Amino acid sequence: MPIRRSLVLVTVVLVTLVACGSDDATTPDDAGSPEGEEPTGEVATPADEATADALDELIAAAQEEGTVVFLHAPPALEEVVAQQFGEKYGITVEATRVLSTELEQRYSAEAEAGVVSADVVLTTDTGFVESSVENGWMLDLNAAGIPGYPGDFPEEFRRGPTAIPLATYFGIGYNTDLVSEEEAPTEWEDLLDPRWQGQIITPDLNSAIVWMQLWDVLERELGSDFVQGVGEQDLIVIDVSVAALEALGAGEASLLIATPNLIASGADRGAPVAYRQPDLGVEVPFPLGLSADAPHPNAARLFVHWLLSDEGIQAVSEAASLPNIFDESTLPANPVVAERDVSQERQQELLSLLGLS
Amino acid sequence: MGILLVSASFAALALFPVSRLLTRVVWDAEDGTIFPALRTIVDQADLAGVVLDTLFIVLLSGALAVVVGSALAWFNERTDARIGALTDSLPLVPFLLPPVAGAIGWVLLLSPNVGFLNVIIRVAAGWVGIDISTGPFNIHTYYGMVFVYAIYMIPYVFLLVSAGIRNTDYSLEEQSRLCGAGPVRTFFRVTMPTLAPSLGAAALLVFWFGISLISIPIIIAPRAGIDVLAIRIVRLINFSFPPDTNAAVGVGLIVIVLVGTAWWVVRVVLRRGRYVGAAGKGTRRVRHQLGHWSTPVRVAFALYILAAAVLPIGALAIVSLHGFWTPNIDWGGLSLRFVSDVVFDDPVTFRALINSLRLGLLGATLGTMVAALIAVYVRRVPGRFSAFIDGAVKLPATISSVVLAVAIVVSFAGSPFNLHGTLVILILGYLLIYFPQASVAADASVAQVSTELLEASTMSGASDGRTFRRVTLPIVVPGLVAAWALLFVRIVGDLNVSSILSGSGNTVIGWQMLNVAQHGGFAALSAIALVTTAATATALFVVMGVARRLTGSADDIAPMRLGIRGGR
Repeated sequence: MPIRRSLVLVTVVLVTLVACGSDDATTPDDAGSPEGEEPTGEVATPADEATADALDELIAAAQEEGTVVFLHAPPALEEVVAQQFGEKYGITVEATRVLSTELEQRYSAEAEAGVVSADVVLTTDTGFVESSVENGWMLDLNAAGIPGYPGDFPEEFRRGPTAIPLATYFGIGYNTDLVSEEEAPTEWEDLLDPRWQGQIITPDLNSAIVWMQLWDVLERELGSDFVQGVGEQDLIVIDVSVAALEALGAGEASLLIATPNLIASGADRGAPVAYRQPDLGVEVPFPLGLSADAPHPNAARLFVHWLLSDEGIQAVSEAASLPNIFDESTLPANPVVAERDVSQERQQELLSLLGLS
Repeated sequence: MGILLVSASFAALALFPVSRLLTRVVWDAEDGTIFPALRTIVDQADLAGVVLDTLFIVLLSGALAVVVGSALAWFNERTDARIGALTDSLPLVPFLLPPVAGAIGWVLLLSPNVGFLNVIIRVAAGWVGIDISTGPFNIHTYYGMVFVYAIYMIPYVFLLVSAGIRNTDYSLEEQSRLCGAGPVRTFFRVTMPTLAPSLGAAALLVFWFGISLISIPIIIAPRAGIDVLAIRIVRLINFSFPPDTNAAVGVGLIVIVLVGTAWWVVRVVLRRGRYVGAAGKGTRRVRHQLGHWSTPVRVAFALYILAAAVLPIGALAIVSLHGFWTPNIDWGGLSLRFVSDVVFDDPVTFRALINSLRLGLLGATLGTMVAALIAVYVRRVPGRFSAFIDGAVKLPATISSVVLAVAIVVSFAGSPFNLHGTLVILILGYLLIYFPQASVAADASVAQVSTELLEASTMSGASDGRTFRRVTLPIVVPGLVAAWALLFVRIVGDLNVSSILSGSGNTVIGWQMLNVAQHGGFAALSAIALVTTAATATALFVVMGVARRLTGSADDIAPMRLGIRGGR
């Protein structure tokens, strides 16, 4: 008897616990547009120039919706979007930073299930946005009714159906306790210096396509002798970017091939790390995606309009410690966009040049 | 009938997302190829090497874990080397630490150039004039991987084997000795067979655990140039969009075959083995007097706990107080600031921790109850259907948690279930993926109920229900508590399921830990990991204390003695 009674008691307690937690179960949808109803107000029609009317209509409709859900791969954007966009228009921004692989997995799983919860995403794979547009999950930005787009948005940062409001470039991080400013490499070729033998950290190229893309560009631009030379430096492979950064900061090695924002996050914590941008900058884009079945379609469009404007780009690049695409002085001297697809044979070739296969 | 309903429903729930995945093995709807997943196995030339590496690491560490874990359990339960709650619970500590944090802890200690232990050893060697430039130890090697895997497997073994020992009737061993058998003969002829279910379950669990581990190898293996199956699957999913799901499922097939084989072997042992069932509650608890051997044994315990828990946690604690990893520790600058910033002052993190603890309580209890029911059903009604149910609920464990979580979203997030973003879908994910561990533990404890006991109860006039409550349940409680503990810890410390199923509406601590690590680094991750460990340890301590009280009090009842006949 006592055991049965205690089982019943336990069940009651547990059910109560879960019921009390149900405030957590509200999805972002609850705050947004009512299900099944069209948002009031027309969606702004495409126009060659931003007309004040179209924008005003969009603002009104967006404010009715009241919320926009934003998933982003670059770090540290939550506050700035809430303050600069949210406060400006009186719209709540639910911004969550998600690693790009999880972001893409979640987004596509949700899209397949028909329950897309994000209005706008900023991810790292242009191919993902392109195929999402093809699948009908996302809209082609050129025909989505964004006031003022494309306008004078820089051509080199428009990629077909998407745009790149933020981009970063691969470079070389170094440990400032082990490497002085004079000694620190300034160009990719400096990696061949014998003093960096066993001192260079890189992720496994098989962990994400961006790494294959990087070395694909470097091999094309600087030659296979260069890549092979780097391969002979006895590279240290550390996959998880946080672990790689911490290893650099601790002095496990002197150099790390990375992006500037990763290094900046370590320096912010007080780790002895700094960054050098070689002239040859291989781009890591953060393409923008706008959901076709966005829970808050007008707020989404307004947000994209803001994000692609001078003001928005300035705000987010500063917050994320990334180059400002409108300001050439923040970009590398020779920026290169990588080829998206790297064939299996090419991947094997790069791996064996680097001594990693 | 009720048991059948529950078991069948749960099996159906488990099979639904899995079947969607498995159909891809046979048919790729998009480009119409047959057996696409199988083809991809052939395409990956180095897969044989990956399989061998995986098996080498898992089998070696598993064997080590079973030997060490069983020894620790035996010394703790059957000798006077036990030091109360200390030796009861401390071997479980590595199990409480989220594996990713544990792996990082060992990297902090044994990185060849700046690992804390290596630095200390080099400095000490320098004092005696020996000059070492790097190392001497390197965690990024085969032996390093086997070591860390074993550390994390030992608690599973300790938990299950302790439960098993607690249930065995010492009088059997006593009678064996009285008949003239020496201690070794008794050990192999009486003790071992009695413990066969627990050992078998422990071996299966550690094999499963080892094969599906992602967090430890992702931190340690790449630098060693080692690839394991679980990582290969993650790579195939994460490398680029769209994920190469066919190949991932293909490699997953290999995992299913390996795990299925292990499960079948253990099932054979449990069903056909001539082992002795538990004679019931109230067996005498006897502790061997070790005499002057008790000190070395205690020292061995202490060394194990030092290696498995104190050192890695110490390393994590130092880094979380310091703000970032460095061998040049600024002792004066250590502060709790990072810990409080990250855990207590951040409302999202705090809520995530509470959510996780709640989910752990609910999931563990639900899962254990269902596991017990299914174990009893399978035991009572042997046959194809019950074997099918048994297998169906264990099947999800063989599939990579990353792949399965995506399948769960696709199956349950949209209509008609509409579970998107809720706590329910999280619980479902956790249960499907971690339930098999509880199931194995429950199976082992149910196997210890001997038929003679059940027959005696029925012949004395007790109904089925009463027999279950008065006879079966008390015997299986230690094993079920082990199952509960396993589920609870795994759910609270989960990363892979949470990363797909959790979000801003249902934040949990594993997910939050990953998030925070992006700008907070090792310090933030360690802070969260340590606080989570403390919280789970407290919860576990309470539950296990209560359970021990429940089973301990049975000593007052006059023991029922049965013969030494082997039983099913």
